[in-house]
Amino acid sequence: MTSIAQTTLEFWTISLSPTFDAYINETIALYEAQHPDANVVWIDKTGEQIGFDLLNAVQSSNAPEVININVPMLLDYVEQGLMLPITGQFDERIYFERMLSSLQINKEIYGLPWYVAPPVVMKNREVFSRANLDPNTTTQTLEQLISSAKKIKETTGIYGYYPNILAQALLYRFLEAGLPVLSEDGFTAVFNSPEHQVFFGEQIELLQQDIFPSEALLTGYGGAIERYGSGNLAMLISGPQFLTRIKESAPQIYANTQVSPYPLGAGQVIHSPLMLLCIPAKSEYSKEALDFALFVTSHERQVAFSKLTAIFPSTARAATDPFFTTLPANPTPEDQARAVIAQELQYAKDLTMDLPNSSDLFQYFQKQIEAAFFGYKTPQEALDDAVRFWNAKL
Amino acid sequence: MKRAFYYKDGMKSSEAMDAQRKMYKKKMFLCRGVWHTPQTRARTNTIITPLIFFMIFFVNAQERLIDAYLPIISDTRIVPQPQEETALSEGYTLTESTVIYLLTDTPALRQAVETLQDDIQLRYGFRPPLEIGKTAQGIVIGQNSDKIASTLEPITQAEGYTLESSPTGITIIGSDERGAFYGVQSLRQMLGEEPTLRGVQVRDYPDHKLRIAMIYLDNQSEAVNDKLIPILAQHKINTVLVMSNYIQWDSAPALHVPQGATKEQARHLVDLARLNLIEPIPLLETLGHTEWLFANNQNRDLLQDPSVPKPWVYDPLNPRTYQVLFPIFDELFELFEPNYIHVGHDEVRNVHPFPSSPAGLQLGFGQLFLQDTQKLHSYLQTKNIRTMIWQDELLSAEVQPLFSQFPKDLIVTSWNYYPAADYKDLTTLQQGGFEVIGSSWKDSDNIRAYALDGKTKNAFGMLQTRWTGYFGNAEVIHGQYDQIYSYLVAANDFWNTEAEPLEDAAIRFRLLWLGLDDTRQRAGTPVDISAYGNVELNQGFIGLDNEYKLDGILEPQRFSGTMFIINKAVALQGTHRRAEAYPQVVDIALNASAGSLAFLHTTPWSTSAGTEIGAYLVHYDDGTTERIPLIYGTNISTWTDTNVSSINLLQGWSGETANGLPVAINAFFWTNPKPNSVIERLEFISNKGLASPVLLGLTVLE
Repeated sequence: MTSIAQTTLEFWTISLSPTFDAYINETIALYEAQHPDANVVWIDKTGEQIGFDLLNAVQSSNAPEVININVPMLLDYVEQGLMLPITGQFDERIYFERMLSSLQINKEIYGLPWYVAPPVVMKNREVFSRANLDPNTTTQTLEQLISSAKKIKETTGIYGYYPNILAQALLYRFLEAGLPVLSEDGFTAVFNSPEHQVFFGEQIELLQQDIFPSEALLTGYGGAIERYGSGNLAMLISGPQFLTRIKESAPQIYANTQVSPYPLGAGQVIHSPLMLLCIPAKSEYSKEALDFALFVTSHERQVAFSKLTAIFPSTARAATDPFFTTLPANPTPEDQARAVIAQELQYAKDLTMDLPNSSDLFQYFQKQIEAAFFGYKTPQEALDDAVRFWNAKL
Repeated sequence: MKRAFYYKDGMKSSEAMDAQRKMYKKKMFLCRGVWHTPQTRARTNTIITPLIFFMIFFVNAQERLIDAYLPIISDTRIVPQPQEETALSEGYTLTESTVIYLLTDTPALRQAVETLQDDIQLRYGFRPPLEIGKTAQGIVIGQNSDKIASTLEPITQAEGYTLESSPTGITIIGSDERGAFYGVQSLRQMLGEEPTLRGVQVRDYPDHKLRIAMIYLDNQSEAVNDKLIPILAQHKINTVLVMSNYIQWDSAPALHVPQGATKEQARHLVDLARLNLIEPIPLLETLGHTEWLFANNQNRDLLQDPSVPKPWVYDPLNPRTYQVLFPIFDELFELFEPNYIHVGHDEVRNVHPFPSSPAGLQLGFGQLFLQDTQKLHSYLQTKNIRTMIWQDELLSAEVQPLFSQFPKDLIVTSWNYYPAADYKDLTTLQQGGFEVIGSSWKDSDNIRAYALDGKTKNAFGMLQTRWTGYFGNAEVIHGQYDQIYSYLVAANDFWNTEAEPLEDAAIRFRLLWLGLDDTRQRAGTPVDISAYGNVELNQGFIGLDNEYKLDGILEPQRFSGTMFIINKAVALQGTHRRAEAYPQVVDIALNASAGSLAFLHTTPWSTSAGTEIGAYLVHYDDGTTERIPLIYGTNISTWTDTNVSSINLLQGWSGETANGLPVAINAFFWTNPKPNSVIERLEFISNKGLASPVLLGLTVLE
């Protein structure tokens, strides 16, 4: 009888248990079957818990091998020197380029993209019909979307547009529109150009013209989902997970929902918060850890995961799976979203920026744009003031 | 005693002192005449004590100043700024024979006069006696109904008063009890260093009828509210909105949480408020924000969807909802005896979907909101109490079309926390038939603009909100201090919408809160730290371009009452690329004894409040040390933070960079536990985080 030396790989995830116990356990079992020397220990934690526990584990030289976090957390941990760069240690072509670039910090890659949920445009067909608009052809660009929203408001009294432009969300909108936020070296804020002012000024005009409700600025984006669910918003720009919520709370609205792609701007990117797997710098078995992370993010495992919930894979091959590309005869809004998002994945990128004092910067930025929206500053003054503050900190 | 030791750059202490001396001489030449008049400057040889001898000997490069520290607020300004104030050539002099005459005796006026007596005694060492019901020469306090002779035209506006200080006496005449009370508060603020008060005629009255401050009631209420209420009253706030969700209701013992206030604590608050002529309005959050109703996992049957993880909205279609709520309202009636009750109704749909039951979905949000408001309003009306609610859901697309069905005596508090020229919601609500109260928050521009717009639109009043959490009253002056001193900003603007902005509210409130006797000037010696400096202040700050220079701080050099020599700053190492090259530790020679040390310091970047970012390590000549930790948000903060987040933070200098960025540098006073020992040197230490410390000035105070 021979014994095999066991390599224990501790794998931490965020809030996947108990909903996905079967899937994660199956993934681990498959990996262990292929790697008899590996013993994967899975520990699921809350988002609040994971950072605290990671620090403690690193300090006590008991770091996990693979950890599931999001991009803001990654930036924080890399700054603290807690994460291992893995540049050049795997085939980067497996993953969508933009998603992988979300994990590049100071020219080093610090993780493998796992799953995303890019936004789509959900449309209330009944309201579109009342406005005499075709939901299939009227929102391919942001300009078209806004033009449709104006007509909807004019003819039905219902808001068509509810932008997500609070704090850093407006910066993402800049980037999506091809307007840079920082200089190439990242040391200078540049979001006060005439082009930025025009883009921002248009949003202010839309508020002043009552094309979107002021609650978008006062209570945030949560109000959009409520409005859409109650039939008081013609278009909801949101991740596909909210379709499930609408299906449960407003079945009639769900039945009337048509899903269209998110309007792609000149930036050729769509901000999509990304979940990733990374390896702590003090991981005992970093090589084996990377191997396991590659397995978890392989296209087979990602397709299997996507079938369980409204998430989407980070590998180009997984996105070509018939599950994403072939629609059933009578597609539900969720089916439509699946096909639409599969096409968006190549543009999906987590646009979270690596900034010193980011919360101060975003808070200040938010205050300036609110001042402009409420008429206290011009768009130029607001952006100039924010840039001046940012450049004091960058 | 003078020891030679080496600095990090290899310079000996004596060499450093020589360099310091050179810099100092240069500075004094430049600054002569800017610093001091001959009357306020004293050479070290004018006062000789052994302690000072040490200072002459060791801080030999510096000049001792008799007024190194002057009281921060030594004015006799009346806050809120009166509507009309006319200076007279001479004012009244308080003497030991001064008598206070109070014409109409009420508990509130009696209490106000007692505080005036206390103030006079504290400042001048004598306590004027009080006589009730008659008048003679001295300080006369009465109301229009008392028919007191006055050179001033009587004020007719409610809560108004006239005040005259002339050589023959002081006369305060209120249009009513509150007016007289406020006149006394103004007089208290006019007490200066000398017992001769300035001559003045004041005619004063409020622009807003209701001037409300939102406060919290928890198990630490007394620690904050017992101090806060008199300060609010002193600044003519006449109403408090009291967050009351977690009072330990007799009718709902299962909802008690340990942090909640007892009914005795609530009653104490109500009594204290009324003694200060402040009317308490309870705020019981209903419909939305009702976590309190589900505390301890109770009442889940009152949810439309009992599966929601965080209960937030009760079901207005469930009759049992009101069987639970109304007895609590009954207790509120008994406890507060209020004229108004605020029933919340904001952010109803922020946490979980609502409505979510089939019946709720059929009726729709608008109807549910309306029906619940009507039900609560009817119940309050039976007790002759008016109902207040927030505006946000009332203005929603589902509710606004139902305006005509809402009770018209509803008072709507309309929150908007941004500066604006026109608060349009006020107009919309007024057009809907409601009376409105503008509700501001901590941004002073917001407070000012809203108060002015509210007056223009004839609002029912103004409310200064505070959002510091249901519990943790005792901690609010740290971390969220900007929400506390904003009360004074609001008091100033709510009373007089055209008052000068109250720029020094943070320091004013601090002195009142801490009861600091800040009337005494102190001698001391500013230290020239430029020999250790590595940051030129007439160039861009910490590696920035020259648009970010802080040359505004170079003159004048008295900050937080303290004289500093400011030339070059000492920056320490941090993780940001612009701070990596600075030293982690710098030794600063002092060789002086000190009652306290005043630091003018900052950080280029912020970090989490409570983080220790570095320290001053005080080395005494007996070989012992004292460590002064630099705690972010407590005794140091970043230069771009112009809000004062902790009562411990003193804004030393505030101004702008060359390109107009508002900035502020904190002062910090450290009391030396060993004032008779010589401090040889200070080690200025960085913990090498993002928020690396920078020292701009240091002064030894005796």
